[in-house]
Formats: sequence, C-alpha cells, structure tokens
Amino acid sequence: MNNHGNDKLHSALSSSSDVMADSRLDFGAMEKQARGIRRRRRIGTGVAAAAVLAVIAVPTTLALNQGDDRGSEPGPADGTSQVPDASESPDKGSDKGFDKGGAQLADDKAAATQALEDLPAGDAPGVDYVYENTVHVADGSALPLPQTQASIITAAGYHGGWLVGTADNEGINGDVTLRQFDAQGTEVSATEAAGSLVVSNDGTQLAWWTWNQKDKVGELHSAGASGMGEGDGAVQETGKASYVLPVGYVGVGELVFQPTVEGVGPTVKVADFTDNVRDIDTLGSASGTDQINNRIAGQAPGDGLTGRVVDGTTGEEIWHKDGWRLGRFSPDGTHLIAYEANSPDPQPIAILDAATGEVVTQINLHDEHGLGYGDVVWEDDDSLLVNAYVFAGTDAEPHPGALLRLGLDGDLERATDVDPGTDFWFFLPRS
Amino acid sequence: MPSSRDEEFTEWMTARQGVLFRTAFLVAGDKQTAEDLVQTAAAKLYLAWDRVHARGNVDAYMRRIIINENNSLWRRPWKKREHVTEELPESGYVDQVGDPVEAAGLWSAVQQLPARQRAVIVLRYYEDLSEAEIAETLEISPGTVKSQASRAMATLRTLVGPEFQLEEHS
Repeated sequence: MNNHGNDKLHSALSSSSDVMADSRLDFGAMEKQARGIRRRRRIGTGVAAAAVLAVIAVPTTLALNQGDDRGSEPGPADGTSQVPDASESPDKGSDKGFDKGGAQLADDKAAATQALEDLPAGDAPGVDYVYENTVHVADGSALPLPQTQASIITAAGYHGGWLVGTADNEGINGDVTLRQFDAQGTEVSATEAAGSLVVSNDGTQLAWWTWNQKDKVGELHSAGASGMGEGDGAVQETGKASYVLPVGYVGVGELVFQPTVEGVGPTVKVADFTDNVRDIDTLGSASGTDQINNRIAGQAPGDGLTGRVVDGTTGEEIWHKDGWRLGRFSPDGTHLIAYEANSPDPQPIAILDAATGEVVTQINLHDEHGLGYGDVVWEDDDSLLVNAYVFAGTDAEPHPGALLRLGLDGDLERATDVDPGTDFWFFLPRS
Repeated sequence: MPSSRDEEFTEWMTARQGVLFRTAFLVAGDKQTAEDLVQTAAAKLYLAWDRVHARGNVDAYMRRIIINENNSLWRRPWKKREHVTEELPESGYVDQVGDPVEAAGLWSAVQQLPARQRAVIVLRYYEDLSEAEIAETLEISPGTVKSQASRAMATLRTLVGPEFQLEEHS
C-alpha cells in the first residue's frame, strides 16, 4: 500500500502542531471556568423547572402576532430584569476607559466594558427577546422557555407552545435541532433544521425548514394565518437542496428562500406553497423581504460584494450598491440595514433609504466603541437593536455585552444593562 | 487534600494534554484558540468526569468537545474579525518524509477546508483513528465520515496538486 501521501500529511500536521509543544493547561483557570459552567447550568435548570408550570400561560401567537405594533413607539419593559437604570451609570469621562479612542477600546477589554456601561441608558427593548432562558415580551412581561438539555439559540411561539432551535445538531444538513414543545412544556418532536425562523409582515405566518434524514428530503413549512394550533400549515419540498434558509415573505404569503445545492451553491427562489416555485436569478443570496412593497434585498450573483434590491415578483433590479452587504427591511419598508462589505468583521452598520440605497446613518461599533455584534434587528420603523459584545478578549473569557439601540438620527444608547458575558441574548423572529 | 476523583482527573489531563493541544490547534488553526478550546473542554470534562471516566471513553469525549466547541466558535461574533493572509504559516520541525515548504503548503491547504472536513482529516491522518472511531467521536454516521473525507481529499488535491494522493484506511 502506498501511503506516501498519508505520511506527508501526517508529517505536515505533526510539524505544524509543534507550536503547541510548550502549552500547558492552567488547572486553576480551568476549575474557575468549570464553576462558571456549573453555575449557569443551575440557573438554567431553575428557570426551566418554572417553565413547566408557566408555559401553560403562553399565548398562542406570542411571538407571531406582532403586526399591530409596527410603527408604534416601544414601551419600557417594566418588570423585567433588563430595564437599564441610568442612575447606575458612572459619570462620563470619569474613568480611564471613557477617554480612550475606539481603536484602543478594541484591544482593551476593561476600558471597552466601561465605555459600554457609560453609554446613555434608554428604554427597554421594544421587541421580544430571550435572555437567561426567559422570553422578555415587548409589553414588559416575561415567560420562561421550555427545558432543554442543549443551548437554545432561537425560538418562536407555535401551536400554543414553542418551536425551539438548539445548538446540538450533529447532522450535515441543518445547523440546529428544531424541537416542538406543547403548551405543557413537553417535547413532541425533534428534527434537523436550519436555525432560521421567519415571520410574515402581519405576524400571522411563521416559516422554517427541516431536513428529514430518513427520507433524505428537505421541507419548507409555513404555518398559515389561522393555523396556529389548528394544523401544521403548508409544506413545500425543497428537492436537491441540502440546506435551505427561509428569508421572508413577499406578496400574499409567498415565501422567499435560499436553497443551497451541493456543487452549485446558494440561489434565491420564491414558493407559494402550491408547488409553484420561481427563481430570482438577479440575486445570489437574499437577506430580507419587504412584504408591503414586494421587494427582496440581497447580494448580486458573483463575488457577493454588491447589494441589490429587486422586485419580489419579477426579480427586476430596483437599485444596487457596490461594496455593501444588505440586511433586513424596516417594518414599514422605508429603510434597510446594510453593512460595509469591504471592511473586516465586525463591519460598520448602516441604515439605508430603501427606495434609493442612500446612507441615512452609519456606525462602526468596532472602531468607535471597541464592540463586536451579533444580530441586528428592527425595533420599530425608526430604530435598530444590536446585540453587541466587548470585542477584546479570548474565546475562553466572558465577553460583556448589551442590547444597543441605534436610531435613524445616529444616536446610540443602551437598551439593557451590561451583562458580564455569562449569558447572551437572542431576538425572537420578526419580519 | 484533593479527592481521588480530582487526582484521577489531574493525572489523566496531565498525561493527555500534549496531544489534546495539538489536536485543538489542528482543528482551530491558531494557538490561542487551541488553548481556549482545551481549557473549555477540560472544564466540561471535569464536571462530567465520573460519568465519562466510568464509560471509559474519555479520549473520544474530549475530542468531541474540542471539535464541537471549535465549530460553535465560528458563530460567535468576536471570532469573526479575521484577515486572510497569503503568507504561509511558519513551519516548525519537519521529519524526513517531506520538505518544510511542502509541509507548510499542505498545512495551509488543510486550514482552508470547512470545519467538519478538517476535523475528519485531522482525526484520520493525524490521530490515525478509524472511520468507526471518527464516526463515534463526531457522532455522525460512518457514511458521513467517508463522504466528508472524500470531499476533503478532493479539495486538497485541487489546492496542492493532482499528484497528491491519500490512501484510505479503515
């Protein structure tokens, strides 16, 4: 047997890993980290135990029926632990961190944390979000999520219970395990799925994608307007695609989705759930939909560095913008989130005029505030919420973070207290 | 006085940390992340020591945690600020099988593989695990191991050259 290639590869791997020859485990730091993990598990167990009793009270369309509040001012989240207290913020400029420039903050964890604390404190988030396994509803109430053994990374109210995506999927198609829980908090199904749940503009339709490992077929699901608790909704098989990302709705209940076929790459399609599927050839990927004006935002085919907005029916280009990566439309369709595609991550965030592509406001959280960020969502028609973290530090360290609010006028404020980095937020889906 | 449980754990970690750091480096691609991965995996092993040790599969458990943790790191926002470089990484000692330039080129190619494919390649050609052992470690089917390895080998041939051939072993 000729194993020369194998030997070369083994040798290359062995020699490359020689850089670790002097590495030694810090047992003290390891034990401290273990205590932190144990503490978080206990907290999670306590919350989950409460969920068994409290989840019965979950309204049927808790996360879905958000259509009425679009465009309204977000109210303070009274009664949640996330209401920031402006009186707790130290005086600006009184600490060493506040005087530091943004570029320095990106390398100085303590200073960036202090600068995050020093941001002006505003109202509590006006959207539904999860923190410490508890759903903080925009009206200020709080509900526990059902108990799971794995980390919950996405969730939506469904059939009076929950659809919950957990980060324990080991399959090759989906990136989460999607678990359905009934109103009593009992798990009724679990399947490999994509970690994206999307909601229609009127808040009555929920879409997700699952992979049936047994039959080797993917399925797009869309729970109909009256289907919450009354059936499983419409299903569209997704053919040869090995991974499918639902993006959002256009028109009257048509779902924009992004299937990836091995060897072909991602494409953009629209399904009406009666087996009619059309291609949007003008987009190589999609990031958001505007159901009011029937538009889709995404990237032009090619190198992915050109943002493009197209008609949701014909795919005809409305405008494009070189060097930008597009995100989600505002609820009223007048603005669009965008990111500078040529900058290193975390890229500057911008709000664009959705009709023209012109920049309305822009912020570089990394360079100006020493922050990285995760999800960016619309809170209402006039402001974004950004899940931000102190950028400096290693992966093994906690990264303090907070939800930040960015307005159309460019003002930045904190919408929550600063978490020390022991837990994280995620937003419940909305269009 | 440390309990026998702690002593057992410390003894095992002390003996195995060398290879664990190397495996972590090969799946993660940088030293700092590799050290973070091993510390996190060790913390989780410490908490689960009685259960895992009793089953006698500590090595597989640690490899699985390291690889899963590495995969999840790619989703964390503060991990994403990376710059592509055209410079090949520095290479240390190279044995007589290949020259340093070739070894550096191979390592560079391995780093360009998707995370799961890279894990399969590391476990197979560095740790010398069988398909069954890799399947157990990654909690995937042997068929998936085979398909991931096949894709990885095809990519490596594209990056390194068609003359580069790997022999499958079971």
